[in-house]
Amino acid sequence: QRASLLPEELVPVRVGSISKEGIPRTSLECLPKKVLYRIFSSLSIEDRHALCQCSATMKDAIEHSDVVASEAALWFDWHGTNIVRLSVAGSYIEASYNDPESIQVFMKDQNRFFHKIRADVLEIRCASEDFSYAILSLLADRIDFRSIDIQLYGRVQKSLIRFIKGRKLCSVNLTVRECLISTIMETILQLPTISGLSVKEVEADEVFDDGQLIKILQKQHGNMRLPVDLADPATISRAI
Amino acid sequence: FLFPIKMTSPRMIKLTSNDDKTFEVERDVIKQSVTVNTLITDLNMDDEDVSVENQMAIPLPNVDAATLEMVITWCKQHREDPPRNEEEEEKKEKRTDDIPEWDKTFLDVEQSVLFALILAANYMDIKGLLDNCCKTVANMIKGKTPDEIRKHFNIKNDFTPEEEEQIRKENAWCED
Repeated sequence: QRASLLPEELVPVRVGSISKEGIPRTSLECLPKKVLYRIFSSLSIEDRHALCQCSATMKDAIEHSDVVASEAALWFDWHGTNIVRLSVAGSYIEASYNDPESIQVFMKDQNRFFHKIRADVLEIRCASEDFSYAILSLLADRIDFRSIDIQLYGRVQKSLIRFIKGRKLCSVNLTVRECLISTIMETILQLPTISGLSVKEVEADEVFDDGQLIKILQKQHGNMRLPVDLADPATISRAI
Repeated sequence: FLFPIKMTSPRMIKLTSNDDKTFEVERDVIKQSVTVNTLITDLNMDDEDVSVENQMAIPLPNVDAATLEMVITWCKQHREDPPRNEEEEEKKEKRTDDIPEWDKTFLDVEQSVLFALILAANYMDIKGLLDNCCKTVANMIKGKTPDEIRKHFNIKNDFTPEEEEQIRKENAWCED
């Protein structure tokens, strides 16, 4: 089959079986870390675990790759799908809200899923706040929330605030996206009121006016008029 | 009327492997290598006035002739591919079942050759080739037990018995 593709002289010859460092050239260990990470990124969690058990070198490489490459995402009922999905570095597990058995499996799987996996960024998308709080609490032991960026989408703000209160975090990088304006307002207004918490950075984009902005502003600031341009989220932050 | 047509031959670039074999390759073909492309630009080698005979050959000290020849064959096959958007590629769900048929056959080689190609693609920064090579290796790993992976990829078990026991406990869920 190959002969039809390559002229005979192009069929590669064996290039020595041992590299300079004494590692066989057919060993995964002779590949640069950057290449290994690329390979790992398309492996399932089970396959990564199998690799972890091969050697201390592979275990180190896998664990390091998870640290540098992981973006974890937690989606709840996003766009009304009744699905919760947890994904890490391209692999994911999911369950249906309507199926208690699948939720049970999900809860069991999330344990193995986050086993040894750390994330730089946690993206949370949610339409169901109570449920997200339950999951966030479960994941608390797996994720070091102090060292990751939290990207917040949708209506998860109350869960997050309850979560932060419970964990006594001292700072958080927060990105708010695809939210209703009221979500941003509630999040931004409530976070600094938690004792000792400083919001390092709040970025807001793709927000939608749900008509509640004025109501919230009035609740927080009486009848004060603020220079807020509804089309420009930056002015909302400045107004606060 | 007959209009004179200026026939321009494709711009050629010379590459030398680490075993001193020189290859002439079309500029358009080798532009897929970011490393070579950058060198060509930095060294002003796009100057049309310099004939290929007088042109300096680009040395590739990390690539042997057999591997370089394969890399060039791959680049020729993929010369019409649209430019890759790495940011988009990163966002995509990682799959390994989307290797093009030609590449599957091309990469169906001895493991040492595949690994040499990976090292060359990594050194020459040819993302498409590196990607398909890595997916091929990932496919070899998939579904194998730790023992099978060790045998297949010549990995030496360097765990102490205590570490091994710890790892076994940590991964007990796999055997649920």
